[in-house]
Amino acid sequence: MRRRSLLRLYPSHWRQRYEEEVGALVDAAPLSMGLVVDLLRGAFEAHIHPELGAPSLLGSTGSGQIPLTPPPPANRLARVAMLTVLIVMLVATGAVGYYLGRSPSCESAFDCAVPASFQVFFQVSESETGMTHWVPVVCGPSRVGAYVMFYLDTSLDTRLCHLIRSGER
Amino acid sequence: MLRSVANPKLSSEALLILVSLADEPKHGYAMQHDIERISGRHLGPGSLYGAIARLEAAGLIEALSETGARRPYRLTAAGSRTLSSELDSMRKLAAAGMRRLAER
Repeated sequence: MRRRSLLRLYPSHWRQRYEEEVGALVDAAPLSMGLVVDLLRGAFEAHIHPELGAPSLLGSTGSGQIPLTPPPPANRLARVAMLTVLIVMLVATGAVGYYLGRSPSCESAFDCAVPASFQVFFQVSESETGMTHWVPVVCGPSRVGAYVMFYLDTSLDTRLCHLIRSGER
Repeated sequence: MLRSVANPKLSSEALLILVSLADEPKHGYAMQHDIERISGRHLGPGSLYGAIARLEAAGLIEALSETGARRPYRLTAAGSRTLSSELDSMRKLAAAGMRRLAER
């Protein structure tokens, strides 16, 4: 039941439409970091696309119609809260990453100016098998930005996996 | 997020869902298992229902009942056309790739 509390991060209209169905899948899935990340990513996407799951002209079935009303003000508060949580998590992750990977690094002029390195993990998927792995990488501040962009894009394939692995020490 | 060949707006998750619903209506749990069986890829609940919500909003799939933890979904006529077009593009791309590999 506790894992279902992650669904509270979704917008209310989205929960009204899909919570029962997603909750059944969440209950059936083993609790893992992958499940938590998957739900957090889904909640973030639901907030930045409020039209998804919104009531439509034809009722709850959607059918490609334009939502009757914009999301209520309460959703804006939820979005702000969601973004705040994400920012706090990002800062906390950066702090832990800095602590774990605090060996000297000098991979670019920027890294030389900021002598810090970060231990980061990337979830990469093998395009042939569909299996996903968490790959630990130690990199300088300039690379962290690039990898975060790659991760948000999630266009990870084996070629990019090799690129990431080449950053290992 | 990997994108499809014919329709850049169609994610790989969305394509897998359309393929899963091509033979008969299914609920989320059945889709999840079917997709894992045919592609080896496990879609988490967040990814699966993110794609379902996008497909529903685009009118490519529709729910067959109003409520329930196991609400079945089916392809709409637009969804069938989109899937057919996508698979045709993939077939042409695969044929071109195989032909070029054979010419090496």
